[in-house]
Amino acid sequence: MFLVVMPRMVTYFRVRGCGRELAEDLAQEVMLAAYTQNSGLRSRALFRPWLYKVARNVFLQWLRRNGREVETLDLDAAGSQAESHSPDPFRTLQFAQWMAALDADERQIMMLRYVEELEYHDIAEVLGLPLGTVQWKIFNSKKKLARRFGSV
Amino acid sequence: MRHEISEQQWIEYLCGNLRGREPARLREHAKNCPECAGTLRDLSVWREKLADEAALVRSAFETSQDTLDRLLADSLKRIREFETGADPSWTFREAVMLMRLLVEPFCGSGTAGATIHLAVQRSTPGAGTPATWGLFVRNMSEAMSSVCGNAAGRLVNQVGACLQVEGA
Repeated sequence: MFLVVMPRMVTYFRVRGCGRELAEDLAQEVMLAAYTQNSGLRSRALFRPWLYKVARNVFLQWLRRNGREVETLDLDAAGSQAESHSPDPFRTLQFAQWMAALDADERQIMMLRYVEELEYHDIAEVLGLPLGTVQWKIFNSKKKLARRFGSV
Repeated sequence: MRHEISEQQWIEYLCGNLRGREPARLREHAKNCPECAGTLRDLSVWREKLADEAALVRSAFETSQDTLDRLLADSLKRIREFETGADPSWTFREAVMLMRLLVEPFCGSGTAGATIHLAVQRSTPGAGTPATWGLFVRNMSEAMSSVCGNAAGRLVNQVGACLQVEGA
């Protein structure tokens, strides 16, 4: 499990602007939480969304511990705030430029859908949203991207 | 979208949630309506573009095997620190037996016995001194790599790191 989950957790924090060391440290906090708190997990099928929920909380706690006031919705844009002294390689990628064109709530759903490859119902579980809202936001985000950047 | 088909219906259609004749009706409409066909095409193109670019994002932040090994060891250390007080340790002998159970199914009993014997010998600094667990795991991993390939060696290394052994 560790070998599958750990790289995904490191990526989760890296694409949200954390440097390598910080991302690895936070990913380990998630692993520790996963080990110590998994008794609250209702079923194995919910493991992935549960893990991303833990990751989200770990990141939020880190930002708060370090005096960063971040709206929960804007967690995915917290990157540059996380470690403003280091360059953020995610921002140089095409995907990041597309994400920057979306609203915070759309961005967080699209990141979970495409970078973390979560299913719609898992995203709904992670963010505590109705499934229909997730479907609608994804639909709308794609339309927005097509309008802004064209279809080719 | 308009044309007596709501946005919600298109979403349900794309998610495969429409039942009965509805999917066929929407498909038929899209065939004859350039506007809806164009929007569906855009959505499909963007679904692929997003998936492709997201794959590049993941590969840009890939974690190397060496880093993973290091992180595994660090995580286990954190877990052990968290569990101080409990005593889940194995004796050296028990741990060796577990390693044997791990490798026997794929390398056979003879090879398992031989690599373990070799690793114990190489991990014992002098006559009468006990072998050290970390050194044993490294030696057994090396022996397994040369006999059964790198993947087997790595497996031994990773499982060995996961076992908490008395005095290790």
